[in-house]
Amino acid sequence: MPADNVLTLRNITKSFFGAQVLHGIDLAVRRGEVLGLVGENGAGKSTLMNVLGGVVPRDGGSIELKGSAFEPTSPRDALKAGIAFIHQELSLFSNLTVAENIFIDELPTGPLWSVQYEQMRAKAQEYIGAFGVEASPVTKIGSLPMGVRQTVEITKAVIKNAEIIIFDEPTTSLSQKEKESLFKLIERLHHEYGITIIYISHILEDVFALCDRIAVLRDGHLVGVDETGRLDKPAVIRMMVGRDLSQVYPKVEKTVGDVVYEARNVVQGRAVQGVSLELRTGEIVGLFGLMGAGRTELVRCLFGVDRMDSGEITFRGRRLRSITPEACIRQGMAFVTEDRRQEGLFMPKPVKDNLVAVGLRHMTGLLGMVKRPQESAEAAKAVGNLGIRVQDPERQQAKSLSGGNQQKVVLGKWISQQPTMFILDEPTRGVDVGAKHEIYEIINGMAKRGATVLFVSSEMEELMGVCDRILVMHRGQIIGSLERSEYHQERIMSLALGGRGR
Amino acid sequence: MESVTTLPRLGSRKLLPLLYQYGIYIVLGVMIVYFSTTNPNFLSVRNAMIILQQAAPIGIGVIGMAFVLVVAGIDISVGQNMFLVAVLVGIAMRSMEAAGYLGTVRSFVIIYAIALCVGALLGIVNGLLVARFRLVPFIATLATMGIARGVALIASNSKVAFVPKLGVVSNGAIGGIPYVVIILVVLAIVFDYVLRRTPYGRQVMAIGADSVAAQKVGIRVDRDVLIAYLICGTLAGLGGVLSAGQVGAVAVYFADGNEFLVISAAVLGGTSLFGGKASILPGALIGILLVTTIVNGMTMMNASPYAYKIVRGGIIFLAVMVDSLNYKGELR
Repeated sequence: MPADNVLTLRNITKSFFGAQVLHGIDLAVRRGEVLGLVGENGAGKSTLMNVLGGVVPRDGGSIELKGSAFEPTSPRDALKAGIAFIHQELSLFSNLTVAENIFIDELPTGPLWSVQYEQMRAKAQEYIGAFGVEASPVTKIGSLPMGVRQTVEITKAVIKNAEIIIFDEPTTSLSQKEKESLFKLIERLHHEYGITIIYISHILEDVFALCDRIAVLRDGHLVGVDETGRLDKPAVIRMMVGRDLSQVYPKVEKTVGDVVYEARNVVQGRAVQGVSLELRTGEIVGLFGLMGAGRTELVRCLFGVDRMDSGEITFRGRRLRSITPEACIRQGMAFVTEDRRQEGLFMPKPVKDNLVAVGLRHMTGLLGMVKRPQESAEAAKAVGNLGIRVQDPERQQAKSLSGGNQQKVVLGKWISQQPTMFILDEPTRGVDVGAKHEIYEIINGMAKRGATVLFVSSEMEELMGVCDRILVMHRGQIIGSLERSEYHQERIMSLALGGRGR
Repeated sequence: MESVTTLPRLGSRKLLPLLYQYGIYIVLGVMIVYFSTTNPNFLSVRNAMIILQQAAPIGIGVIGMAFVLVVAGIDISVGQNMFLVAVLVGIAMRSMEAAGYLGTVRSFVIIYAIALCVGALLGIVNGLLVARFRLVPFIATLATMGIARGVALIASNSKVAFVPKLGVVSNGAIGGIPYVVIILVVLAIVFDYVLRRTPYGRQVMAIGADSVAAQKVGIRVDRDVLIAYLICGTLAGLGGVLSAGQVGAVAVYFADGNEFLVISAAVLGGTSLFGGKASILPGALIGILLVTTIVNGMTMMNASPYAYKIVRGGIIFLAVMVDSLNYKGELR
């Protein structure tokens, strides 16, 4: 047992609103290692790290940092003690320069409290050069791309002598290229600077590629820690969700009926170049394509979010005259995207208000007043049916939920309207494995009741698991339609790349 | 993502920011030319001095307002702050006069000290309400505005107080340059330095951009915000006593509506209502000059006093619109 643990957590417990979030976590972090921390959203990863960072006080247990007790009461304490956080939302100020951002908490001063800009810039430049930040110290943060901003934040942590850097879902807003350079940088922090890294992510490929060890949390328990070499993806998923990967895609008995939705020659600019498709009742149809294939543009046109240049849509035997979101909703369609904020989830409002937002006008009585008991009952029903994890739907804000549960609220909002056609654009993006499973079940449930589902996703595996049929788009056109028996990863990919798909 | 179909607007991309940045100078220039052509007396050294002198007391308030706006706050109590300060100073002077004490250097020191303290006190109250008790700045300062006005009306018994002795400072000049203008310029230099060159200035900029992040990186947000309101209240108090001295009398409508002059001058000068962006040199000064020039020009044109309100409203609208168009961040 190597004793060189830089950080030891013992029996950490924490409750929120009477619900226990951490059940006595014991975790030792070795000096200089890259430790992956995985778990579903809501498993307690963030809470554990917030306890460590002094953002929230712990209820019980002890933290030992570099051999002595550590009692952080603010993020500042943690930083002083050498623990830095890189969150998905960066703590940088867009109106200040790179150098100012790096030193903002302790600006070097000279006579008359004047900030020593020269000294600051010189020191910032030194590290910026070393880390290959593509910016000068005097560049305003606001003019830099996300990837560079993140490097600035990392540079800042190193300048502040951080010995432990905690990355919390750092790749969420990065492009593939930015992601690669982030990983290179993490390697360097680890090798050249000997910095201990705790890497939190739900992207298991990344965790496996980067980390020396992986710790898995589930429902506030630490269910396992082991060397990466001794683990594989299915094993980790099993630990995360408590079941096998094959069970991620639920099976359902349902019948596919007649064609109910038909789009003919839909054209929009260069993104959508004459797409026709037919969808049946009870059918789940996947729409796959690479970035820029026109998937999102197509479904936005179909729902009238963007105007189509030409084309027609027939739904339930009638040709739609005006294709606007309002008309589509009236016709019984629903459109759910990955963008839960834009989607119209009222983040600061209680879960209940969100769930009944669309159906509210059907719950009114005398003088158009909302019938509160009915409102609460409907919301409670939706929470139960969809398995939304919420303590108190009447009071808890939507933003306090994990991503997966937020998505379920969005789905629930629409389901209350009992639409007969769902267009789902990346409904599981940013959602962990367990919640994905539950969302698939919700989708299956819709189809079982006879609704039609058009499911856009960039994850081929999930489309293959869930859909009855997959349409593949390439350069604004649908160039292939595959039945379940024809599913083959390489074939779908070669179609998406514009090949014949043999 | 931006829609691809929009045609590239040649020039506008370069022209617009330029217009936002220098628009105020253009407007100021146009105003000066316009008023000069309609009234030959407008463009004279004497009138320029009058404008500067009129602008100074409120301009001092604008400097303070810049600090409140930069932390994404607002202080609409500054007008009534000035009124309360003027009333209390008037009362203090009356009792000093009764004691035969008025006129000594010491009496003046006490008078201006009272003004600064009353202003500072209101600033601290605003700061505590906003920073400690988390009230929305608009509502918090609306409350103090009402309270300040009420106290001032009760204290003054709604009667006019005459304070001609204050004219020594407010209307005095050295080498043709009014004292008040010197005070304004000195304060502008000092507070511009505070904003641009000190850690406090950089940190309030950060708070205005993202107060949650500011808290996270270890900036003492509450303290810094409180100080911003303190600066604003204190400078408004000073502006109030100087303004009272210029008029020579404090009536019930003294300084009424000044908060809008102060806020619109600050915004015209390039300080953003959204926080995180402020300019004192030259912003605050140019802003107040523009506002005062318009008022002065209209007076010379014998415009209806009611027309001021319309013009004032128009200025606020223009300033805020440009600010919103210029704002790139997330709308709240």
